[in-house]
Amino acid sequence: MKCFKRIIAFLAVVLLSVPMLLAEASTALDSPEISYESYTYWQDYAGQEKKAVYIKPMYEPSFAIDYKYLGAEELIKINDVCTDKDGNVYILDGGAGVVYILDNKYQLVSKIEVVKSTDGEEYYFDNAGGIFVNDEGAILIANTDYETVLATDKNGNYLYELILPESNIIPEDFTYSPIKVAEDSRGYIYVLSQGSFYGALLYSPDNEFLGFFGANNVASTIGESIKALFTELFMTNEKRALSDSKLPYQFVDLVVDGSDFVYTVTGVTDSSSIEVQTGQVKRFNPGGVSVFGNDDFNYADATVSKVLNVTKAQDLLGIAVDDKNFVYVIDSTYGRIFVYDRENQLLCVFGGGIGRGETLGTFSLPSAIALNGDDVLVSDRELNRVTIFKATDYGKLVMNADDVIISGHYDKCKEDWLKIMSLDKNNQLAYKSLAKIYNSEEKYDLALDYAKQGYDKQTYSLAFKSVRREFLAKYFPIIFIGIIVLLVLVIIWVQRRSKQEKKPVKNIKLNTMLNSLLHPFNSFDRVKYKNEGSCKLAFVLIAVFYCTTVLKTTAGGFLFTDYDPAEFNAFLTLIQTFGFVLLWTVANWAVCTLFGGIGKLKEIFVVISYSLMPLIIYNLLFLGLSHFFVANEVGFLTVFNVICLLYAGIMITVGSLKIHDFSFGRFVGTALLSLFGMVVVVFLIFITATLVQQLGGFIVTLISEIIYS
Amino acid sequence: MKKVKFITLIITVLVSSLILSSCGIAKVDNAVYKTPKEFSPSDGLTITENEEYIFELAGGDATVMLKSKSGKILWATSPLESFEEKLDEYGDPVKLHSKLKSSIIIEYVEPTTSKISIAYSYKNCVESGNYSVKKIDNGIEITYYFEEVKISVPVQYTFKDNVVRVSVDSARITEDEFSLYSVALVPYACGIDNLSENGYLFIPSGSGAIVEPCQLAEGFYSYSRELYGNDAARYRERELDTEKFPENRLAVYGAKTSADSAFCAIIENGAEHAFIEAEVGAANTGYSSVWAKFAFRAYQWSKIKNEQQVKLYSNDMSQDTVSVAFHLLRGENANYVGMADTYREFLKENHSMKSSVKDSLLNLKIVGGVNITETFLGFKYDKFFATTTLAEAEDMISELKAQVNGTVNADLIGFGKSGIDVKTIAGGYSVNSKLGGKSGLKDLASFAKENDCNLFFNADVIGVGKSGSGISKSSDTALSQDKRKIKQYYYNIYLRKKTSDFSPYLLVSRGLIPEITEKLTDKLGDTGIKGFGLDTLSSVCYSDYSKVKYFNKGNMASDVSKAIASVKKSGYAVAVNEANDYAAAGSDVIYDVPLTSSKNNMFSYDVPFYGIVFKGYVPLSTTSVNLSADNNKMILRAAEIGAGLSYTLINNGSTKLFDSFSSAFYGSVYDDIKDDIKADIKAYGEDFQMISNAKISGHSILENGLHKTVFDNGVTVYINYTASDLEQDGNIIKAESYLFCKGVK
Repeated sequence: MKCFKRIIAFLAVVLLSVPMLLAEASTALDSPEISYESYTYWQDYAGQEKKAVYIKPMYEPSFAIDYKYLGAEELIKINDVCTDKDGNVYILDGGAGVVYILDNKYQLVSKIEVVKSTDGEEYYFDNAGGIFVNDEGAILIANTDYETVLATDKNGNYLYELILPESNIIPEDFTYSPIKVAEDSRGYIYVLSQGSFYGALLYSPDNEFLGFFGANNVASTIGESIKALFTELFMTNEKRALSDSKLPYQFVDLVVDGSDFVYTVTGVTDSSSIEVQTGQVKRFNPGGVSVFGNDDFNYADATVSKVLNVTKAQDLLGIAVDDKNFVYVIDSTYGRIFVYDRENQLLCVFGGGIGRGETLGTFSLPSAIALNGDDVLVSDRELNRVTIFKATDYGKLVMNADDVIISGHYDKCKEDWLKIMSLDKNNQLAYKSLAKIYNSEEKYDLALDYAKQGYDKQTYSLAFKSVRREFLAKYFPIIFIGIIVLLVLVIIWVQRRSKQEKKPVKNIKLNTMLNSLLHPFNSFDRVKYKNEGSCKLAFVLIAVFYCTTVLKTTAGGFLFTDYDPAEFNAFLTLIQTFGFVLLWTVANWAVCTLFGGIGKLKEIFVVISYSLMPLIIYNLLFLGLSHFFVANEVGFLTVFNVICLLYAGIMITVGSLKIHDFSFGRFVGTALLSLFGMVVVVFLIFITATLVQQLGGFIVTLISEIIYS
Repeated sequence: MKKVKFITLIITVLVSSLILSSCGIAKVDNAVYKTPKEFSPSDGLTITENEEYIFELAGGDATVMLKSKSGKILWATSPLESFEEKLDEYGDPVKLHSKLKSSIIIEYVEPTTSKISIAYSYKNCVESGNYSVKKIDNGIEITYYFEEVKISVPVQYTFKDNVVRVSVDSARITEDEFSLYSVALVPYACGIDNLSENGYLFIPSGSGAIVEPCQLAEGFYSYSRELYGNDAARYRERELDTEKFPENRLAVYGAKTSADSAFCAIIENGAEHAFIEAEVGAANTGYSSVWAKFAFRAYQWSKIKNEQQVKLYSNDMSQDTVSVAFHLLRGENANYVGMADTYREFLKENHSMKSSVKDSLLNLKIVGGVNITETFLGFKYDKFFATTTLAEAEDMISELKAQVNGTVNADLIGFGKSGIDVKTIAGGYSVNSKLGGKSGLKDLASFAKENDCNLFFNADVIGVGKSGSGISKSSDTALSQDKRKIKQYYYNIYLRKKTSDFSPYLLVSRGLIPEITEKLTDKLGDTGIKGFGLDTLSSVCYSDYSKVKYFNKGNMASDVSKAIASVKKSGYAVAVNEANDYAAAGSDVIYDVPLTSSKNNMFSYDVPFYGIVFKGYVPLSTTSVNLSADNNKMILRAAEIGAGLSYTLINNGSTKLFDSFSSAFYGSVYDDIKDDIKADIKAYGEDFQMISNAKISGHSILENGLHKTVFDNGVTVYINYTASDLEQDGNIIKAESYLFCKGVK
């Protein structure tokens, strides 16, 4: 009875196994000391642009400044936060129109609720969007609703205002709504205005409007460009006005570094996509030319995720730069802060909250980011507080070491990188840096080892070149003599065999197969008319092709392969090898039969399989040569690849002509149709699979309904 | 014809199996609600009294209160300060918000929409006289009749041994169309005025957190967290936390209501069903409070069309009596230390917690191995990667033991067949041969015995990834409320997506846990090992809907306590990890003691409540120092509660461990960190000896920011977490450092 029940239960479980319930696994090794995950992305890891790994935390949340801390009744909407050169902190409660000033120990010093001029006029700044303090101590407030940038001192005394300038280059419909403001060391003021896609408004030290600075580019396709040209040339003014045009996205924040380079961040760079954004960060030189920032590079997470089943798009909305040009950007959707060095390498990601922000270090709606020495300040306009993150000892170590190595002082940071490696094996920069250091010390073995572990192909290539040079220098005479001797032996052997009139291979079918490589016409003729084609050998060839294709990826030279065991998809390779051959065989047979071809299924299969031999040879060559060439010698491999592909194509052509008894023109036609046929077959398989899956889902739902009722 | 018959037979078997599969599990139906012919409210009565106190029911509002003989109200179902006359700005008496007069708040499920609604006992029952009072031994029972939704809840209030107890027997709850989901017991008994200067709330989040009241201009802070962590048997993807943080591990909460009075509320029964909730800063009520809410029904997230998800509540209610005991604290004890002392006494009485003299400075977590993905001709397979063999573990322990004057604890994690991956139950009750096998474990156990080292063999006794070792995935695993197997997935927390990189596993049937722990000791006991690590058993709480008694995490505390007791009875020591109170109390060492709270926005500051409770009774160790954000801070926290230091170690690191689900490998290679470990031992070791085996008799946070811990052997420790040097009692405590003093009060 028990056994029967178990069988019944087993059957029930099997049938219900599809809609399983999910819960989170836990492990004794994880410890929730900080309420968010500290991680980073390894760049260009085994073909993945970004691979997330855990790291030792570089920042930890220290405390938060809220209304209680400031002794206020409430804070309404903290829109911005900034610091000055003395480490004083300025918090802008835009909702209440108040600026709180704290000293470098985060103690409240004063607050400004109204700005007064000498003639008694009062200036308010409720709903102000941004704040900046220059080296002279002047506080610039981007007074959004009042359409002005208000300058005041710490005591609330009016200094000056920047209103909408009168200029021919400012469009008539331009709405001046300053949201962010910054000033460089020369006194030039940059103002971001809400909705302005012309870039920042630039003012001289004398507060004269000079024009627009920087702007995002508009990504455009060829079709869109042609359409735009057509619109310009042929449309009337009225029609032109009604047509839509693509405008660049506006900057949402900007900051000026010590060298007067301007960094900007754009939240959304592709509103049509809910997926990842790219090119959000730019760096402009004083001339307004973008010199940093890759339009294709995503400065936020590698992918988006769901919150309560709603996918949320990334939105970088704050940027800060320190004196070593480390760039900090914050994603307001996910509450994460990304730290990049000046070479666009990601150091760490911290923070979180994804709109909930229930704990210290996480956010509901971040509004701004600022730096205060080693501290990172992040304001949240929903939680109305400013969270202070402090760099950990490990974080300081990494940033110092990274700064030194970028500056090229390899000898000064070696010990630091070794220390970093001991503390955190997941730090890619450590591997890369040590690879560079050992390469510079000519310790190439170590350099290769670290470069390989850190997926630094560039340094690996440099080190390998040196190793190869040394090796060749040492062993070249021996290698050269060895090759000569081998060639001589081969020639002698071949000549002897041909004199003895012995066939190298006794088996006729194997002989035919091997001959097809050099004598395809003759061999495929024999396949057709003397039945010397072998399905078994064909299968063997396919298997060898599959194996060599896999080995090409898994065992090929590091510089030419991207292999991650966790990501490798053998099934895909199987489809690309076995699947391709089978599909071609079936499709070609079906098509050629309709067109009067006399080739049999077996013969087609044999031809396509034998034609894989050049590709197998290429795979084997690749396996060997990829361990010998360096990165800039990839051209050789490419040439080999093309030659082998072409030769395989020739073999298929010759074979098909022979077995179907087609003319060349008919062959081309049937080949194209065969390719089309393959697509149709794949489509049919896909449809069938989908239907089966839906049927399965229906049955499971039915069963669930029965159980629930 | 034969074909048709065969197909018909298969279909019949399938359909009948489906029907039968839902049989065999008892259904629980509560009595149907019936409106009484007449209610029997009360105008007030004295329930019970002794020499010091009077326990009475106040008429009109049905407020239950405890008074001193002099008439001072010491405890009530409404906030104490609410009984003081208060005048508003116009000189009129402030009217108490009706919420504050509610002894219980229920959540119920609307039958058609499955949405949750709330009802208050005062507004929905007492105001309209829909309640009945009945005297019972040492107390009264008030049954609240929520007429509109046809739910009645009998609540018992008793006063005995100077402790007020409030309890509900869910079996006596009646309902009709609307289903009761939860009952919050006396939610405002621990209420304090928002403007109170001396009061605070205590919430057992992680190490413990203090919430100082405040008054917000609008809205309020709210907190709700399941006790003992989320039910591992519940479909969680939708509610996956955006953050990770320490859970509530102790069934206690409290409030300091004035300078010299406080309550310690201990959840004596039904803690597994409890949520700790709090509300702070609400201007409309003027009070902040913390309470326990008991969920009597489970819920599951289910997908409907368009990928929306709804909560589906179980038909069955868990049958349990839930109760909270309110202990009055006076004078010097009216603080969180007093609460910790009270709670400790509870654990000693109810969970057999005893004093311990086995504190250990050094507590190692040595990881044996993990499966990594390799490929053969492109086909993936799992290959066991030995991060530490038993021989290597011995070398590590030996080298570190030489630095330590005293016992070393070593927890061997992932030394079973599948390493730290969850495959066959308890790692197959064996030791992976690549790590040394059973003979290797014998050697290590022998070494440990000769060298004053407590060795624990860690095993996951609840996770089942693969059938084997007497446990079948198909029939021996726990069921969810809709009778499905519950898969434990690995998630990318930052992506909030389950990852398919690691195979999910199931949870074993609750009823099999004792058998499994017994088998573990039987199978491995012959190796000479003297202890077992039961990390998952001690920290994970889950339901199993194959049996009524396991509904809604029911009886987890007693089952785990029994399992641990049984292991100890067999002569083995037990190590636990970030343990719930019922497991911690009976164990021999607690790894990963919570050292911080979840740092929820409403918390004012953390207190080391967890450490205060257990120090001197169960040896404590920190979370892994080498994996922490700030090693130095970890040592400060250790000094604050007299905990030993913990390190996670492996011998062999590799970038292949990237893809492991565990975040532990990045900084655990022994050779890389052994010098740091030795330096930590040297720095902290002597001081630790001063407080080893001592109990904590006092703790406070001084005005200058220093944390002060007083041990019962006369040692006082000052911990300075700030970035500046601080002075106290003539001593300078350097920034981010500590100072041990003897003889300071």
